[in-house]
Amino acid sequence: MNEYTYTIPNDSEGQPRTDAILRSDGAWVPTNPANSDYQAYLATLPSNSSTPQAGA
Amino acid sequence: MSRAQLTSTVEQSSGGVVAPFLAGKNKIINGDCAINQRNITSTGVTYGFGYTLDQWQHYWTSGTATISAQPFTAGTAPVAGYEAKQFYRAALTGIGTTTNDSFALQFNVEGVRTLANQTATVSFWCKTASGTPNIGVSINQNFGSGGSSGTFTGKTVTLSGGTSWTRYSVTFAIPSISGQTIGTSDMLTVYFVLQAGAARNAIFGTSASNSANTFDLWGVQLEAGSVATPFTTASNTLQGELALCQRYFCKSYDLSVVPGTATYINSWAMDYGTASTSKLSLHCTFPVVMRTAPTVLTYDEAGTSGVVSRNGNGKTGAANAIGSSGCTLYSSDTTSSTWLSVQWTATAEL
Repeated sequence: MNEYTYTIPNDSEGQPRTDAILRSDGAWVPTNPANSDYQAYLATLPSNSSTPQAGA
Repeated sequence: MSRAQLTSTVEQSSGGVVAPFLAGKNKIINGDCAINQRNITSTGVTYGFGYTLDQWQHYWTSGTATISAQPFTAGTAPVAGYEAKQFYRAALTGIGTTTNDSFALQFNVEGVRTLANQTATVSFWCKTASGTPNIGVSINQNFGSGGSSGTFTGKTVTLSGGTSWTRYSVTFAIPSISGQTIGTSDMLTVYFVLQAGAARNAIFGTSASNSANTFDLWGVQLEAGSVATPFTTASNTLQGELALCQRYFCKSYDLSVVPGTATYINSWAMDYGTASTSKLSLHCTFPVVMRTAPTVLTYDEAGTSGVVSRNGNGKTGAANAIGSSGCTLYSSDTTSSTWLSVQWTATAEL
């Protein structure tokens, strides 16, 4: 299985984006619970965390 | 008696759907291997997890697997009167020799409600390079994220036809979903366990062999009833089948062009007229409404992923406002530019 890392970039106003995260292959993954790539991202987080972590 | 009444009567008498061409009978999309948006070739690919032909997903962890699309020579497709273009090939070595390993080809059917509490039949054509090995066919009701635990119901099929194209079928009693909790991205999955070790066979409920072999498959069908009726695709049209596939994966490129190819053909582009160092953006509409908001990967006109073209290649780019029907593509690069051009893929697989 592919091993990706993830980043939460800032938007044009310098705030962390909440709508999508950037995967290490350059793909933009929407923070939508039905997206299986986002589910894969959530699975990489600590079990007590349910929100994206900046710079993960 | 109307045709509809006649059809219904025959269905009741035969225990299956009237042959052969009825859209919606087959729950498997792209069972005839015709749609190949990722453009795998006869040379094949070797990655351990992912999709090859549209909807044909595989997973394996050790040993060697080469998965390819092999063309049928005209007149040699296994079904008389159905001249298919190509079939799926998995050449496997050393898989399943350890107890926890397997090669599973799987088809994810959206919605665990599919065929729940019904008798259903999986049918497929298969041939091997040698011998008459056992493979497994297993059905999993996956209740999705936050849903009830799923279970596997597996059966073992001996490929008695060996090196000749032979049709096989397996009938299942798919459990009721009464009392179950359905979460997000629920599905009914059909697994073909082509090779497996003991532990993985135990999970799938199968007894697949593990000797090196090459498996050719085509004509996968999942339908209601206890009878394998003549094969047809899910939509029974080429354009319909493509649209069904695009619900889960689509791309800006022509169908025959591999994502990441250097080309500007079909690129989504905008000419802004006046040079600007500001953010440039354009809206992209997907060819069909996708299953959910997809993962979007951009390419520039040179075929490099993760970037876009903006008066030149390799410029910083991104997607935002991603929804099931489209997204915004933009470049925040500060190169003084008059135009923006973006190729892309969008993935909303289960």
